[in-house]
This record gives sequence, structure tokens and C-alpha cells, in this order.
Amino acid sequence: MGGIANLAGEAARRLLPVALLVGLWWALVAGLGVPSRLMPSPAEVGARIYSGLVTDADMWPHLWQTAQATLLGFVLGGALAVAVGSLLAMNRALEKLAYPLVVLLQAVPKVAIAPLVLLWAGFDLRSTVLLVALICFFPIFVGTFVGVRAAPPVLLDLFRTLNAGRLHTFLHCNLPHAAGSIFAGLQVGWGFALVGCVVMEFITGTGGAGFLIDNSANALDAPTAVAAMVLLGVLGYVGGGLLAAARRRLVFWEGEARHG
Amino acid sequence: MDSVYGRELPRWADWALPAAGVALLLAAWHALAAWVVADATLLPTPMQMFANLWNWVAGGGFLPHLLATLTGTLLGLAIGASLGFCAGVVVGEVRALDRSLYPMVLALQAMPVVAIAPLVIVWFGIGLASKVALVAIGTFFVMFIHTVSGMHAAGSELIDMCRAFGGTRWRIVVAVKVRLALNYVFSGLEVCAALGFILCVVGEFIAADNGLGYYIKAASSNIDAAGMFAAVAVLAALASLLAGLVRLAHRYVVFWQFRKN
Amino acid sequence: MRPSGRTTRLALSGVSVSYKSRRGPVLALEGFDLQVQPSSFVSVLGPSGCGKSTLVKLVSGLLRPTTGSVTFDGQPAAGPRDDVGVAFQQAALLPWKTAIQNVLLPLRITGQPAREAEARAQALLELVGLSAFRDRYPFELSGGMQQRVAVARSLIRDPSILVMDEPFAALDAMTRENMMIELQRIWQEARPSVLFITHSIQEAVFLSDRVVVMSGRPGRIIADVAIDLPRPRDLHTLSEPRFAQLTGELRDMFQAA
Repeated sequence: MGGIANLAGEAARRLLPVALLVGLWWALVAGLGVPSRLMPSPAEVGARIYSGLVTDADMWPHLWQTAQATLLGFVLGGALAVAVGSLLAMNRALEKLAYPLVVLLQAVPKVAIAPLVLLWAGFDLRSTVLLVALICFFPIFVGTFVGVRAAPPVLLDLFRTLNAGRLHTFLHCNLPHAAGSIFAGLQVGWGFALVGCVVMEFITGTGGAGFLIDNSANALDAPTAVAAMVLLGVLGYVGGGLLAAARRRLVFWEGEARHG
Repeated sequence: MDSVYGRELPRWADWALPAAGVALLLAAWHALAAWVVADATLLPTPMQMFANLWNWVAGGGFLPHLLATLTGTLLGLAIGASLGFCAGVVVGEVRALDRSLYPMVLALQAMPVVAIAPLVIVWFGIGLASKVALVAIGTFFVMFIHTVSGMHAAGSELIDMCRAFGGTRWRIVVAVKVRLALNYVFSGLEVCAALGFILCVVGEFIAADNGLGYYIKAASSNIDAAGMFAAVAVLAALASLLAGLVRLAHRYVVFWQFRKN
Repeated sequence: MRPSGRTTRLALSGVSVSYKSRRGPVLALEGFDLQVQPSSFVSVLGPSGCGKSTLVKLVSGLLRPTTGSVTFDGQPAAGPRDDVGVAFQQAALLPWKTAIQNVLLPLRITGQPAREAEARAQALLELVGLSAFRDRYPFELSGGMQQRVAVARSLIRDPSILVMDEPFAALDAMTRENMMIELQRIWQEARPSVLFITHSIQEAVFLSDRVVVMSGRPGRIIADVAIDLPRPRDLHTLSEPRFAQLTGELRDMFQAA
């Protein structure tokens, strides 16, 4: 009983700014007399979303393609980042050795190499997945590295007094302690992943939400473009929300009020 | 002392290992380029890349593209960041706006701002204007959110506080609060520096007639990996330089200026 | 109960420990000689930075002495030992495990089957007065309770030597006093040899058979005082004249250190 009321209240709280935003949007478009081909009204975009998802359902394949590519790349990049981050954090020598590579990775704006990835991997989904993996690698790597190193020294001492091996200490002490930081990196990485996917879809032009936006903008079909943007935002929001929920569940000991 | 992170390393390892890392990287790259891929148009060796970069720099061919990207980014940054900062200060101070506008902007964050690029180009056409607009819009939102966060962290009743504390004490309190807020503002500026280049380059990918992004895309069509590498290297250098300058400014403003207090 | 056939459970002879630091070698302990008999409670008092943590690391096997030897029952130490229990300044519990899982941690790590030991862990939690909290997580427990779980954990392998590094330092004064009395009660049951590091003179006198006073860095022993107060000790002991005499004596020595 109380739970449903809480849920409804929470949903209302979340939707209120969106409702206000839509209201402001409508007022500006109507008030300033902006032509539809430049910036459509919320009603037009809403109608286009409805036709795109329900009646004609022509937007689904594109959305599905974007969701798939982003998710795949995110999982790939994330797994790699956690592995590499853990390895470098647990081994000082490897960390120093890999340091120049990490600096290089950070300095290069990953979107800039999108055409290069295209050249190497071709015009199919592979290049999108590859770019997404590359672009979300860094924040997840940093989250993992910082989290693993942040294990309290007194806990590490405790494990050493019990003659625990390095792998065991990593799995049962460093890694769980790093969970919060890793999730923070994942949440940032998800945002980056969407950027990578959209950018790649801009330049490959073979489908996806990015293609939808670019194609329809070129055709001066602003309602479709904005509709695709809104749906992209929803995808971003849902992904971010799932990650946040997973974090609350798995890293249950953080964020609680503590005693003592 | 040994720890779970490995044996204690001697002092010289602090520079020797990274140097070895660089050497290893170059060697692996060369091996991959020369023996595995064996196609300079797909993957140039390090030496080929540096030679190409040198020719490019010496020949001045990249200058117009460099300037186009730099102008678009810096102009857009200047406009977007300053407007975002001002809007952030205003919203942070006025409770009613803070309650209404700030959550609206936060709700917009879920959508990647690059997605608006095609529409912005339709609005402003191909050329400098669309680049500047794109960068300005993206950096506006980032600076706005960071500034408001900083105002929240510092406590927005600065004016009330000035009245409450008399004499020199309020100056100290205000200085501390301003310094805290400025930390947020400068970290926002760092994000803007990176974001600005990204937005400008993406705009150039989609539709442009000059700029480093345009060059990279064109080189991709011409299967000229060496050209792409060179342009990416220049872009990376520019982005790092700008980020470094912002960080220096951050240190100067926050630590140096406030040391007197 | 420990077999009391041997004379010295733990011995440090001529121990010195020096660290490498940025400004050159730092001597933490020098010419350190200490013996701890079976089932005896020895407190170590010393000013901050005198090398008490180094002493803890030596006995718990995390550090080797630069010179001299650390022996257990006459055998030289070769790293962390199964018969040494350690309690640190911070409770150092795993936040994602319950109280009883934390108490069982040493057995899990050393590979002994936890299921059989669960009864033991339960009994230890009862001993420290936390049996009702066995399935709570550390963030649900107060600082004092967390430290009690840590004490229970240090006892799970039935150690013959217990090293405690200022375990009550992070607690408030009232909790400290309670914990002091609790620790005495727990010790009376299990009777390991205890090396108890503290900077509270009251704690040292109340709990120990002997109090050893350390000098500032480089740390060495400057006094070894026998505490002849009868056991079991309780709150009344705190107001006995002999107690005040001993604490006064130690305070003077402590100030001189």
C-alpha cells in the first residue's frame, strides 16, 4: 500500500521537471513562432513518436540497433576496463609500465578516431561496437583502478596476517571494496557509450538513432529528428537508471547511515 | 616493504618503467604495422606517422584546418561557458528559478548532446556558425550545471551572509564559499574544454568544408591512415594543451589568489 | 586453556627496526628486549610515534626485524603465524559481510571449513555480548560493537598470543571503560598471552600483569612494572589506593619518556 504510493510519488517527482520542460518548450515554439522544420512543437514530436513506435513502427529497428550496439560495446569495453584496471592496480610495476599508454588514451579524444575505426572495421555494426568499447573504456578503467587501490590498508594488513595470497586478497578485499567506484565509472561510461554510438551512426549512415537524426535533419524532417533525440534520451535514462538500481542493490553497504 | 600491490620498487623505476613502456608501445606498434597489417594506408609505422606529421606541419597544410577547429571550439567555449556561468549564478541565487529550471536541465542530461549536431547544422548551415553554435550549446549546459552545483555547495545565501557577519569575518566566510564554488566552476570548465573539441569535430564529421574533423573524415574516404593519425595527433595535442591551461588557471585562481586570505 | 609448561611464549631480543624514508633511514625500534610469559597480559605504554605500530607489525608477522630476533616458544618467526591473533586500531571489518561472517573470516581464508566453526563463532559473539547481532552488517553496528566483533574475530583460531593495537582508541570514554571491563572478562575465559598497546594508563594498569613503558623514537623499553592488583578486577579496583599509586608511578615515567 505505502509502497505503491511511494512509487507513484517518486514517479511524479521525476516527471515534474520533464512536464515543466515540455511546457516551456511548447510556450517558446508557439510564442516565438518557430517554423516546424526548424524546431517542431511538443505535439508534433509526440505524434511522430507515436507513429514511429506504435502505428508505423518504423523507428523500432533503428532504436533496437542503437540499443544493441551500445550495450554490446559497453559490456565489451567495461569488461576489458575492469580487467585492465584491476591488473594495473594490483601491480605497481605494471602500472608504471602502462602509464604512458594510459596518458595517451586519455589525451586522444576518442570520437576523433571514429573514421579510423570505420576504415579498419568496415561499415557494419562491428565498427560501432568497437568505438563504443573504446570510448567507455577510460572512465570504467579509472573507476576500477581508483577503487581497487582504495582498499583500506588496515584490511590489507589483516589479510596478510592471515597469510592470504594476492589473488585471494584481490577477490575478497580489493574488488568488493572497489564496487562503488566501479559502478560510478560504469554510470559515466554509459553516457560516453551512447555518444560513441551516435557519432559512429552519423558517419556510417547505416541505421540506428544517429542515422535517423542525421537523415531526417537533412531532409528537413525536424519532427522525426527531435523524436529520435527524445527516444535516445529515454534510452540513456533507462540505462542510467538500471545501473543506479544495480549499484544500490549490489553495493548495499555504501550510502547507508552509519553508526559510531 | 612488500605489499599486496607488489614488491617495493627502487627510485629509478619511477622513470625507467614508463620509459620502457613507451619503448614497448612503439615496438609493438611497429611490429603490428610492418609485419601483421603490412599496409601503410591502413596502419602506418611510428616512423611513417612521424614523417607524415612532420611534412604536414612543415608544409603548413594542416594550418587552415587547425585554425578552423580551434576557432570554432574556442569561440563556442567562450560564448557557451560564459553564458552558462552567468545563468548558473543567477539560478543559484534565485530560489524560485533554482527549484524550477535546474531540475529541468538535469532531466535533459540523459540525452547525449552530440545528438543535436545534425539539427544545429540545419539551423546554421555549413561553416563556422554551426560549429560555434554546437559547442556553445553543449558547453552552456555543462557550465550551467557545474555552476549551480557550486552555488549549492557554497550555500546560496551569500548576500544574507554578508549582512549577518559584521566586519572582516564575513570576508573570510565569503572567500571560503567563493573558493569552494570556483572549484566546481573550474572543474566544469575542464569538462567543457574536452567536450568543446569533441562537439566541434563531430560537427565537422557531419557537414563541413574545413577543420580537423573534416580532414579526418576525408582521409578515411581516401584510405589515408597516415593522414588520419597526423590529424588525430594534432587534435590530441590541442585538447591536452587546452585542458592543461584550464588546470593551470584553476590552480592560479583558487590557490594563489586566495592564499592571501 | 594454554599449556603452561614453557617459560616464554614470545620473546624479542635485541630487536631494532629501521625504515627507509625520503629523508634517509628511520630507526623505529632500537635494542628492544621483551618477554611475554604464557597466559600473561602485558601492556605497552608509549608516546605517539614511539614505534608501537612497528611492534605490532613485528609480532603479527608483517615485518622482519632489521637486527635481533623475534621468537615464539624459542622458534624464530617466519611470517604471520596461525597461533597469533591480531586486533587493530580500526575494527577493519568487511562491510559486505555480517558480524558472524566477519568473525569466521580467518577460518575462510586459511581454508578451514566454516560450517563446523559456526558454533564457535556464535559462542565468541556471545562472549563479546553480540549474539543477537550475528546477522547484522557493520554499518548497522556502533563503533564499540564493531570493535567487539573484531575482538571475537581475533579469537576464532584460538590463538596462544593476542596482539591488540590500541583497539579502543577510536571509541568514546564511556565505551572505552566498558570495553576495558569486557576485555578482562573475555581474557579470563580464554587466557591467551596478550600484548596490549595503549596510551591509556588506566587501561594498562587495570588489564595487565605487567606494564612496559616505551621511550620516544627510537623506541626502547625504559621501565617494566609488575601490577600486583588481585584478580578478578572490577570497577571497585579503580578506586583502590594501590591502583592510584601504580597509575601515578607510571604517569611519572610516561612523562619522562
